[in-house]
Amino acid sequence: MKAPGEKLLRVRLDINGGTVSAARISGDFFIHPEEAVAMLEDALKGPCGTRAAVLARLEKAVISGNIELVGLSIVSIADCTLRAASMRDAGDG
Amino acid sequence: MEKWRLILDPPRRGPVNMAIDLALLRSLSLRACRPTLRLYSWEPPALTIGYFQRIEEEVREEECRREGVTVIRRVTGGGAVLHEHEITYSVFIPLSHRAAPQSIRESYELLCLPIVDTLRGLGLDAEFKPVNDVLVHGAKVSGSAQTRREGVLLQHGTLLVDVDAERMFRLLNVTKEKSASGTPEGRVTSLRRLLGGCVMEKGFAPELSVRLARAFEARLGCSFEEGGLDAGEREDAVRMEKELFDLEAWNRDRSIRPVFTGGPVKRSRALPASS
Repeated sequence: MKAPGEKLLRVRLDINGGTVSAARISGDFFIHPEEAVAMLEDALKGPCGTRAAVLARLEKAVISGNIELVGLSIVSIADCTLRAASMRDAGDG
Repeated sequence: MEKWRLILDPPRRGPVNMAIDLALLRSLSLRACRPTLRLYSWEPPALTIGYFQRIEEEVREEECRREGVTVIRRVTGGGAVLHEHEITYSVFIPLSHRAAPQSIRESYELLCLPIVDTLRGLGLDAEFKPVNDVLVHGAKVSGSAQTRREGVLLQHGTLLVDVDAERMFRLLNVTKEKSASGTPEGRVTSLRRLLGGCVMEKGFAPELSVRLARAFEARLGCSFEEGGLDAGEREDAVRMEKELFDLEAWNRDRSIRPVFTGGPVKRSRALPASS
């Protein structure tokens, strides 16, 4: 997906029994520091849950990792994740 | 006025170019060099993808293999770029330096403005478009990407001298989102398209390099002295080329990380023998 004013974002999920076991975020955005993308991916693991719950986990990761997103937002990541979860087998938001 | 280093590099292979940028970042992080502007090009043409992109999503690998175009993942985010007829810049500034804005967005603008100034000096109506692009008449002629590691800001980017849009979009997977924003020909432009065939003449690239360097000097308040890589930087670059950018595994596995602390730059974990 590509939110207005942002870069292209893809989220791929492995889901087992309603729980995200692995998440992969990709696209042409910027995350500083770069390696912190793993923290955001970890934040997507667990019960698919509500948008608010996913956002809260992402926000916690952003704060604890002192992460800066450029051309990307946690709202987009959350929305893309929920979209991928709803597609389940395709897993491509 | 503070003296910075200007490196005018000859055309090099893609993995070598990316390795040199990382070696220069490390050199500055060790305070083993001055802030540096490097201007370079690519021979043979290569395709780079952003740190967060997946090669299998972005690149038509079979087409690249057929055309002998090497694909390299950058240490910076951003999008995929076919490096063919262009001038590439990389600029290295300590994050503690007055010329390095703490704000990432502001630093993109500051470091893209010399490109804008250079293009305006050539009579073109160029503008910076946040976050990381320079446009002429709404079409992209330059894109940049930045990383901040080890206390150093590295920004590198392209200035397209000529663009083979057909080839670019033959080698890249174009997403439906990008297709929706117009034709390749409309979204991307080049100096050749804007200024004519004179830009392909032998003397144009050196003149453009001089103009770029002067524009960086004016914006950053520095004065360049031309120099090359020192022995340590060359050694690090060779190591990074072999141990990182020349490896297929680097392109596909984000868990592999360049490590800067102590001794030479190296990767963070051993790779399987098959790599």
